[in-house]
Amino acid sequence: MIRLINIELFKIVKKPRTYIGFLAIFLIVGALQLAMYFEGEELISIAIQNLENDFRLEGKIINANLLTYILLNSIIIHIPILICLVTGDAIAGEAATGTLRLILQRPFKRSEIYMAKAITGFLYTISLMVFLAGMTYGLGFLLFGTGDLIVLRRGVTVIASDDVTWRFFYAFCSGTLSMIVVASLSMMISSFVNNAIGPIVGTIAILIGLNIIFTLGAPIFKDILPYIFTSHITKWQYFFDFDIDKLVLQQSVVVQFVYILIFNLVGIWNFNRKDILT
Amino acid sequence: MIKWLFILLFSFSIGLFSAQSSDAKKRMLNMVEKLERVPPYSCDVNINIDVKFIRIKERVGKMIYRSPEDIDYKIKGFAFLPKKEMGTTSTSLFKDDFIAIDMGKENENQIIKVIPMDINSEIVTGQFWIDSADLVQKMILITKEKGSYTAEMNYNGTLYDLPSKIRMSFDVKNQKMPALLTGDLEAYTDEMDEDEVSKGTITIMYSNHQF
Amino acid sequence: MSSILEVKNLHKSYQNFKAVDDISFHVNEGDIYGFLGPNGAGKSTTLRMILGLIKPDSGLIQLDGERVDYSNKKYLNQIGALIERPDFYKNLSAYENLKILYSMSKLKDIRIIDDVLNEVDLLDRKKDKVGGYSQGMKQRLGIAQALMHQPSLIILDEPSNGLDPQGQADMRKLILKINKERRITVVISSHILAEIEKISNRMIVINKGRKVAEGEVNQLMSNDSIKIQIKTDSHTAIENYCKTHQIPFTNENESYYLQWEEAKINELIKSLNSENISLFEVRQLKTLEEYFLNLTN
Repeated sequence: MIRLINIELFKIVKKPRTYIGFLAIFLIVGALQLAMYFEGEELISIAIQNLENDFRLEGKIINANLLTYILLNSIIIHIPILICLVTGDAIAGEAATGTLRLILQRPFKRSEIYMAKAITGFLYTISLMVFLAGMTYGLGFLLFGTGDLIVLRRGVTVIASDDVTWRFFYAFCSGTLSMIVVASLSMMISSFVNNAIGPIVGTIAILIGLNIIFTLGAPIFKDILPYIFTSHITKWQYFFDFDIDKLVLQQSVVVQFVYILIFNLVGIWNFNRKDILT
Repeated sequence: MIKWLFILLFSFSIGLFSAQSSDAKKRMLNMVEKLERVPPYSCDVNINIDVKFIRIKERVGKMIYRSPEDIDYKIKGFAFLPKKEMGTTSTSLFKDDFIAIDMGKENENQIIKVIPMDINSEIVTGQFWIDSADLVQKMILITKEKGSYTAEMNYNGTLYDLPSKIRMSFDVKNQKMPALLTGDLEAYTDEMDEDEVSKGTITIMYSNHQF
Repeated sequence: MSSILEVKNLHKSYQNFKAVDDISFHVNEGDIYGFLGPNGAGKSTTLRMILGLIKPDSGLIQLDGERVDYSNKKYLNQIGALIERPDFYKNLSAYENLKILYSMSKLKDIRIIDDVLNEVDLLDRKKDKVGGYSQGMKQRLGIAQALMHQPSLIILDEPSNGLDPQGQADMRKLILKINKERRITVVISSHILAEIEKISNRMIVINKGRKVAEGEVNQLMSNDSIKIQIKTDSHTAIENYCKTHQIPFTNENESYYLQWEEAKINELIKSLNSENISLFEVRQLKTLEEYFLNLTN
């Protein structure tokens, strides 16, 4: 298995499209942070207008912590697309180019090959998230310095700067877990089709579709919402509550692990039984 | 006969009333004078906020007092502080002429109601609870546009009769982002409290004064 | 001579279409075994089933006497293959492509990569990206990856596809060299009879998923091979007759083609008549080539 993972990592590192994700993050983060640098005060004052009517606000609102928090929301759509570019290509892309036929003639079980690709996909996902974290906090720190984090969610929560680091660590872990679910989904779809576009479009369509359905129908679907994986993509925000609801977060981890398991098992099952016609 | 008795009684009452008002006014003016005698100083502050929708831990820092209208805070991190206008407002009450009415006593504290003579004044009325040591224990100010706010003071013998603790209460408009907007679907409820106003409190503890 | 590959009663259908219909054959050690059939006959499907790329509906495949077990892919250590196009990772060099496959094998000495590249005359281009290779170079690289792990059997599916006459000649030379010098058994499929005829010693002919003929090339290409074209409307009867008497046959455009000896044609006709099988036309075809040309026209 280690051998297969090394081979998959080698292939990913050599593919130009691997770097699209990192470049895109660099551009998105850079653009947003520069925008905040020049226009941030005005934007923030709109958001906290009501508070300014009743209080005098003392301290730096725009800082590396706030920008990292804002940019972590990009895992809702932007990061999944970048992940699917690589993980969706894992099987379907090789089927389209004919190289799948080449590697399946080697003495390795299909399930081993699938798992190696999946693990490589997860490693790629983790590296993207680490890059996102480093880029947002690093550039944010250079431009804005650090400070307390103000979160406008269920009211206003102010988290001291020395209380923020561990929360971001867990938030990124939570976000990474959600993105691994997305990677697993795109790999599963990749095992069903023979062109690389299908898994990318399919995965994003599912994400957007589920988001829309469950957002618009929130009152109706309130009971099943905790079991839909898209509702866990923003669970990282819970780490910025004053009193963290550990039970909700533990349940979220379990639900997401179950989805990762299901998606990968279905993907392996289909890959094992599939006739390689390309 | 009875008619003259009523006139006499009425005149006596007005006289008595005028005497009481001028006493109250004198007392208030003494308070203002005492406040104006306070030199610039700095002290340590601990700030706590109690507002329905705000969650923030105690803040510590320094306050620099130059005048009632010129107070600065240097706080570690981010803080919600009372609006500058609160200090300005209370002193502006006494800038122009005003009527001071003795409203009686409550728990050994004299209650004095202050009404500004200037009809354009931001403050409609103010009420002060003053103890026998001429210390303001509590005040309520009602403003035209910014609602009412209450301040309760505690003292521990600091120079210039400065309070060791002030607890300010005022009306706060609910800051609530729609759950559908933040994607926080689990917080979604059918009841949307629009424009809900609740009571907010800022408690500031002062210590280590340096004049 | 021992059998290195044995295929028995292989079946594969896709919905209502029978891609492979009861195919059986065997390949002896040292053979260059030709797999001949028109496009869509089921050649690639059969070869993919041997490699485990497609799962048969039923049938048996044996390699060196051992039944092939798809759950245990170890048997693939003995087989090298080039199926259809020679597809590689275009953004990688020839060396890098082979290195990936080397890492997936039991080989211990990395110098084998240079050896096989030298064998197929690509050593001086090993660092060039495969995306820039010509068709002929890709085909040779395909042979190199099939040879690299020193298999006992190589399966080549249409290896001369897209090659000019000189390229085809070079490919034939290479295959003969592999067979003679490395003693590797070769199964080579094609839809071009001449290609098979030139290098194979044994062959099978299939059409519409069914075996039409199998045997030594010399014998099949002689006048004793497939002879009879029969036109009849007794379709069920003639098919049952052929199955009962184990006569290989194929059905094309309402004609039945039977493999039969020239000397015994009269006997066959009498036998068919006795079974009340109506015969509109009975035609003697001269050679396998003529038969095959009928199929492919």
